[in-house]
Amino acid sequence: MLLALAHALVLPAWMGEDEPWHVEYATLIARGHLPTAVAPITAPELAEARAKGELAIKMMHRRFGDVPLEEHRELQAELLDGLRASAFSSRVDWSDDLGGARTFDAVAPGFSAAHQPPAYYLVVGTTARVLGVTSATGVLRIGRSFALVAYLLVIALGISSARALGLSAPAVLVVGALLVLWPMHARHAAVVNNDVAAKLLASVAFWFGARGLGGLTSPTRSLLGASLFTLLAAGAKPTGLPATSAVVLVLLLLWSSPRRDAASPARWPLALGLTLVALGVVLVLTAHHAPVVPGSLTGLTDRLARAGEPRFWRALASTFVGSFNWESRSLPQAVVLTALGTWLLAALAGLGGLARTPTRGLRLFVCLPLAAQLGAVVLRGAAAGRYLFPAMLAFAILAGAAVDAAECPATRRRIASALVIGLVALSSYAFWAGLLGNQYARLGA
Amino acid sequence: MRLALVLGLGALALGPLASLGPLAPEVPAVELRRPGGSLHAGVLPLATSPLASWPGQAFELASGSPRRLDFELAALTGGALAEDAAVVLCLSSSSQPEGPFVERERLRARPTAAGWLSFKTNAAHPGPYFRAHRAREGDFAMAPRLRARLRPGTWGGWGNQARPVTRHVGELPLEAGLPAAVVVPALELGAPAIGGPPASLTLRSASAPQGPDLAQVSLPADLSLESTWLWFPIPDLAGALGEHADTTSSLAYRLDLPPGTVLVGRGGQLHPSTLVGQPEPTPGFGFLRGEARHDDRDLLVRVWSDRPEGLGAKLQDRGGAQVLLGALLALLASASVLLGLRRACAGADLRPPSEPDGDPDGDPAPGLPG
Repeated sequence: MLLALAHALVLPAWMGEDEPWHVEYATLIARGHLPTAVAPITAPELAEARAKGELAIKMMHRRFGDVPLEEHRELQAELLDGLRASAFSSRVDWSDDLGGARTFDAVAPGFSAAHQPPAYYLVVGTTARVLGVTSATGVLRIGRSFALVAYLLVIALGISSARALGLSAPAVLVVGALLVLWPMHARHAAVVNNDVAAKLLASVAFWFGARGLGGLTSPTRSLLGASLFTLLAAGAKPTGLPATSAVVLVLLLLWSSPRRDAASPARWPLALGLTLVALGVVLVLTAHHAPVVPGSLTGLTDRLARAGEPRFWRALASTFVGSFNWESRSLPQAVVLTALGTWLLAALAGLGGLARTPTRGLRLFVCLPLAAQLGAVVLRGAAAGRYLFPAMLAFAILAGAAVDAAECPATRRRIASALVIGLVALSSYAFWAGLLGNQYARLGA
Repeated sequence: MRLALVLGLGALALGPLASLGPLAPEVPAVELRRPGGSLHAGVLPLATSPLASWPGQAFELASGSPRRLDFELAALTGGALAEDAAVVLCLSSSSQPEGPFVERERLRARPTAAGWLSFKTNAAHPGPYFRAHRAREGDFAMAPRLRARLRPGTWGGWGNQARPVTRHVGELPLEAGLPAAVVVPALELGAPAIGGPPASLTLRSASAPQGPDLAQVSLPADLSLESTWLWFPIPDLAGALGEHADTTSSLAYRLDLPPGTVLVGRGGQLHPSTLVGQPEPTPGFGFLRGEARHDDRDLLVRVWSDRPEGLGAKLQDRGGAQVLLGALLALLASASVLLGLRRACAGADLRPPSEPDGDPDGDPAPGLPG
């Protein structure tokens, strides 16, 4: 809670990646509009909008067809005033000077949140509407409050899942500490982005699975809960689907195997679970402009080629561990590599630790969501670390389980201490030298 | 356990030490950078003309004197670095934004590749307003990079065809707004004849091309460029267009260029770019051509002060009590995790409440398939 509040106080407005577009979407809902329209855009209209620098307006107008273009323009102008007031151009290295800019095309031409599923924006926007908040900065605050709550819930879900899976107390502590202190995850406590919702819902799906595997809830409930939240996570953002569907898949594999017994769920929840996951996949495949799925074979090969380049992995690593100022600056590569290298060592040991727990199939349950999420990010072709967050619980539990690889309690304590101290050092450095240093000490123009 | 706590406190202090103490990363006091994906990476090469045309940059330092200045250089096509190539920078300063400026020091650096070139000063100089002019000794194919403070309007790009041009007429679309500057890609700008007219751009209404000039802009007569954008700053067009300002969709333009000028285009056409908007007034900053300071563009420069403000002072200035409170909360958060570590490791029970008694590798948890 303290660290979440610290980020809420320290992260300047609009410094969460893509915040203006997400706030624009939620603000329109807060002002009483609904994202019901999918108006077609003709090529000449697109060309005209591009020439006028109003592509972002046209794209949002496509989603909110009942909103007059002038209202879209006014909202983007209001948001850009906010960006200027928080010295956006000075903080983001790649940003143009936004002096006099009236539309989002001045920030990033042709970029918009309009293609995103509406669930997250309906929650934030409706909350704002209920509270009587209609200003963009007010919606920003509400969205950031949602992120804070989501961060705390994910930590609680991670600790609860680790306990349910039978990890020892020091191992659970490491899981909790990683979720609290991992720099980009902590920063996610103060960011308006539908990745926050995808992460939270995917974590709930994982938690249902963990409780089922741990015997704390019935397999039927576990499977239904995981399947339901898989669908919800996909509805928040398609990037929520890979890890969650992997969770459901593992549960199905474990519980529908020939070794199933009386404790296994009945056939109908299995069928329902499969149906829900299939629905999630269909949702992603049919979502408008969903960038998860390559549009063509060439698109797929292009993305794979991009993922084969070292810079893709450097960017993915930096943005997963610690990047700032809209990913225009990051922690030193040595720090990033040390953090990920330590995690990798811990994860390898964690595989041994998981093998010591009494739960069958645990390694598959933890590793498959991670692998699925990473694979989806590669297919997505965008090196953004936050796209990995739906598998954050698996990421933390795999490292925490390293503690349980040791038999001796004293050794377990030492491993836990070393990992937690390392996390404290990483978090402290990232907060002071990374976040404060880049957001406040170094302002360019 | 005691060792762990000591190490933990050390880890906790790492961040503040790295930011506030001797490990603090060096942060430039001034940083004028190049936004990506924009027109502003246009290369402004060395001038071979008299001193008055040499490019430079004006800047202001809030405290101290410049300790180091970096200018970003681009390589010019076809050029090669001479062995003894060096750039000389004339650093002058004043207590007033517009001077008078007194030359304080000449700084020398040797470029080896495109990118940032560092100049180190040897003494402290009074400010807070400084001007750094490039000079040239030796011969090399490097040029400082320039950026606009305006936004791209109509982007014409560079091109792949070059041809000599002395006069060219065309139309400028105005969808993105009235231009505050027109830039034309050129490989070479010819020198005007003695007493002859310099390069100029004339704008007229597209619907009345024979009508009066709306604007006419000339480049300095002694400007000589090898590979660059020809930059024509446009005066207030809205005033010249009057009531037609909102309805005019294009302007007719005419370029008059000295013989020897080579422009770049594509598809047999010239594609000038426009820049729109109003530059934010920043007294003390701007691109220099000799004594003239231009408010609409800057050279890309980083300046380190010999008396940099500490992070604490910057946090107070730029973030206020809110940020200081946040920093304190972050420290408390990490400390509380360390306390949790102490409690967890000091606790005797290393098993979770749900773990059954007996051999952990033996029977599975209740309710699970075997």
